[in-house]
Amino acid sequence: MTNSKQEARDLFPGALEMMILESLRRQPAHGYALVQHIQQRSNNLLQVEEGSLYPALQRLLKEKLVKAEWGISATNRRVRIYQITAAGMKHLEREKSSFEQMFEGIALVLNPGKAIS
Amino acid sequence: MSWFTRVVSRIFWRRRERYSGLAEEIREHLEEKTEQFVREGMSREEAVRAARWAFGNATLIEEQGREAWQWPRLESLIADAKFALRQLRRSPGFALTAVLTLALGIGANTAIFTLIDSIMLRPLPYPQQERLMRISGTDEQGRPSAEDFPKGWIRAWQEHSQSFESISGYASSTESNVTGNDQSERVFGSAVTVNTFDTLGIYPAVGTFFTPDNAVSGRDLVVMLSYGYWRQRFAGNPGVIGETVRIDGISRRIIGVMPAGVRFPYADTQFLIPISFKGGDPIDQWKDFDNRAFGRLKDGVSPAAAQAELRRLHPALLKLFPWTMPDSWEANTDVVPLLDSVVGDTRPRLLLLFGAVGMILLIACANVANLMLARSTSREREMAIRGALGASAARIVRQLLVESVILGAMAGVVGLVLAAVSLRALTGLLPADTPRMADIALHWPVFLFAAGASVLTGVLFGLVPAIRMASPDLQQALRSGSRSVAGKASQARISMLLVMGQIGLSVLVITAAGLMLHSLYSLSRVNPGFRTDRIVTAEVALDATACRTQGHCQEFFSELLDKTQGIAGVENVALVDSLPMSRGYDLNYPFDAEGHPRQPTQQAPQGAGRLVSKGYFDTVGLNLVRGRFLTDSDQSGASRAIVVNQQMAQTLWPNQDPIGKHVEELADEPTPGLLDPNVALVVVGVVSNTHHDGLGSGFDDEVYLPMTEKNERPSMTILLRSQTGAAQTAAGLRRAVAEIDPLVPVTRVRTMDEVVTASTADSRSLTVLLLGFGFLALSVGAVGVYSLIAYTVSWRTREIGIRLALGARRRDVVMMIVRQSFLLALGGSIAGLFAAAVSGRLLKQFLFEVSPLDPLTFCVVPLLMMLLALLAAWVPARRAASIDPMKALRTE
Repeated sequence: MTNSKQEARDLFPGALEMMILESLRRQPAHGYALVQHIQQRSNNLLQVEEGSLYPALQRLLKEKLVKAEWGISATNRRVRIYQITAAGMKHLEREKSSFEQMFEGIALVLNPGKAIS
Repeated sequence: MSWFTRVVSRIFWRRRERYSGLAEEIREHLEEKTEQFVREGMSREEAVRAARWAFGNATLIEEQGREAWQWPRLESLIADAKFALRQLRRSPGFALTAVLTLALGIGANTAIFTLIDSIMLRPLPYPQQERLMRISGTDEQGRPSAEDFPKGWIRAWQEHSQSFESISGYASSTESNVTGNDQSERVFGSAVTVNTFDTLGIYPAVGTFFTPDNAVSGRDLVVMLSYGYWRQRFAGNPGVIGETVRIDGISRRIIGVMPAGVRFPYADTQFLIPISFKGGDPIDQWKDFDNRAFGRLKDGVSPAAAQAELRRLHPALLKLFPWTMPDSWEANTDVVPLLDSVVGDTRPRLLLLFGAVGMILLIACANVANLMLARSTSREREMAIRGALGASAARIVRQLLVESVILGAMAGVVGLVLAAVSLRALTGLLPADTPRMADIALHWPVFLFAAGASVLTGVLFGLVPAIRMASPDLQQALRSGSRSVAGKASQARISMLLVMGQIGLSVLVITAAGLMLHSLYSLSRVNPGFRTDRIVTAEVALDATACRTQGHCQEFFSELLDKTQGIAGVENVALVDSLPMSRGYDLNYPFDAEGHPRQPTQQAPQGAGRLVSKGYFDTVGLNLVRGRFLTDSDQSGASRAIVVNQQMAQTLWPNQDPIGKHVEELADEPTPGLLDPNVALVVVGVVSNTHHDGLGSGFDDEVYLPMTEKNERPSMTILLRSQTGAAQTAAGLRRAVAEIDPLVPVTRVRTMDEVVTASTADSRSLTVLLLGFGFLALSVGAVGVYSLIAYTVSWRTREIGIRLALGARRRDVVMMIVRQSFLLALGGSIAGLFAAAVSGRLLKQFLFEVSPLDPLTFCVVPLLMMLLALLAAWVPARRAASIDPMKALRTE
């Protein structure tokens, strides 16, 4: 079940969802485009297994944080285009601020010198 | 139910759609990726592989995507259920015992609940039936004795009350001769006010209902048939509308048929005629106090408010009577829901039975809980391993509860079948006059109840063992491969408590049954005050209108007396207008007596009056206390002779000679009698008292009147004391009647013993049912004791082996086992008797001359339990005594 690739990704729970929501906030997209977008934006630093996006999208759909509609992509494919909902926006804001706090905390612990200054 | 299946199917349909959508999405993604790789210069084959590599495990991802939508709890519950079924299949003996025990309990409960649902809970078959109210009167003492009103009173209510949409009335149930071509049949019917159907809110199955016109005397010669009678007598032919039938010698036109399922006003009513008013006759509408009232409340009016209004109206309406009425007459008007008044005192009986079967279910639960505890010992290692592998206690409890709920559900299905099968027999045990008997059937609430009971019992008996099993001492359990020498004290304690609880509950049920049995016995020992042996009784009825020709009825019945006297073997013959202990007998004889003056506003005393032929006293064996019996010469009416009972003589004229005292019967108007010695009746004799209204009720004032031309009745009951068998005597009677008039029906042929027995039907039915349930409780409880003792013996095999090896005598071993069982029974009995003593108050209303703390019952029941404990321990004790020490010590 666990393979080396997943370990390499080493994302904390909720991170993928947050990135999806952030991408969708900029513009609605279908799954493939989302993956491309996330990989580009992260300069390929994050080794996201492409497929893992889909369970995350299903979870977001269930929570009604995103909605989906079947449509036609730029490459003329029948795809499901995801769109962030109002609830998704709110969720994203909350997650982002809590993430930033956590990140700040971790950074302080990891760089004690900086904290003093 | 359909909305439920709709919702479920919708959920699953939407799921399917989602899943296929996801699969398609993944497929498209892979293709898009592949195409991109191809564009970047890979070969198609390479591109497919690379796309897959980048995507990851598509199947797993699809599955994870699905999981987002699933209910992990439900799905693991299903897994639990599958596992539980496997477990049960592996130990069929346990499963069978548990299911059967519980099924008995659930079955008994479901059966009794079916009665409760059908009789007490199901609405009556009228629209908005909860607004239908029975209106009855009680006197100042709150006795509901005088509940009947003249028709004018009901009409006055209808006109003046603002609380009711309409108020209607119906007369008593009367048996009439309905004459066809060849013979008459006796059929029950009743008269109702013409607005009855508006009040009930029903429509005829065929034809029409009464019109207001039918309430006018002379235009009332119409009849409505009950649905059942229409089907039975007229084969359900709609063409009978407009035809005429002769009812008690009067031709009436059939105008309609009641809707199916409506039995109104009485369960056995087969036809309805209108209550009519004689215009211009000021007395007519006030004279027969024979009608009961009911009404439909207006929306938003509470029964209490309506009752208050009717009570407020009372003084004003009382002035409508053409004579002065006692102020207290029906002063307290009661308004109660029609359903409640129909159910009447069947309610406490049903609730008592429900209580009893509830106990049985608890006993069954305790039994199964014990079985599960015993099983838990053998599953201790399984649970310990699960615990060691990380299953939480809650998870194990859930697994075990799922097991017990499944057992409960299986028992529920079997129990429902048992209830359905036994329902007919159960209904047969109910008294014949149980209300809504025809409605008794399995309706949907019964299924709901059975389902609820199954799940609840499953949780109930599963919880204790589950909690106990979920917190095992892991190390201990894993280390000790075999049972310890003495067994586990804590588990034994729980089991023993459960068994004691079972015995206690059994004792409770048995005690209730015992009290009822003792009460029934006391009742049957009551001397009714008249002889019942070798007497055949039957009703012989002329048309109700036969006596309009004066002397015709008297002539017929004297001829009947002569003819029946000649039947072979007949010793005595007598006639009476109303047989003692036949149901529904009111105090029908209001009178004024010499030396007891009375104001018109006071109620007149009421006695039980009976018209009798001179042979009556001899036939039923009444003793003459003073004076003389009635004779032939009294039949002319000239002597104005009556005979009263001891009770009446003593209360009216204590320490005086009652012979020669005057009594005056009052008609409906309660004007005090004048007691003119030249007109009033004269007491010529005093006879012994009888329990004429039932073995359980006290003595009333009784008056025996001769059958004169003035008071002749069309229908009399004949009593024949005979040396030959009842069937032969009845046949002779039928021949004799046919010789006089072949159209006169002879009905209700019963022996006097049967009449007396029938009068205790309520008590008997309750006693029989309680005894049955007591027996059930006992057997389930006994199985509980037996299995615990048997289990203890197998548990203590090594210990007993050691004891025997060390020189214990086998008799001591037997005693040791028996003593344990004995102590269980003792503890349980004490608890049960205590509970019985506390709850005895509830039984009081069903008991006749037996205290709820009846010493006899309270002694016999624990003795019975001890005996049972002895029996239950016997087999296991013998087995314990025959243990071979060598083998016992070697077994692991």
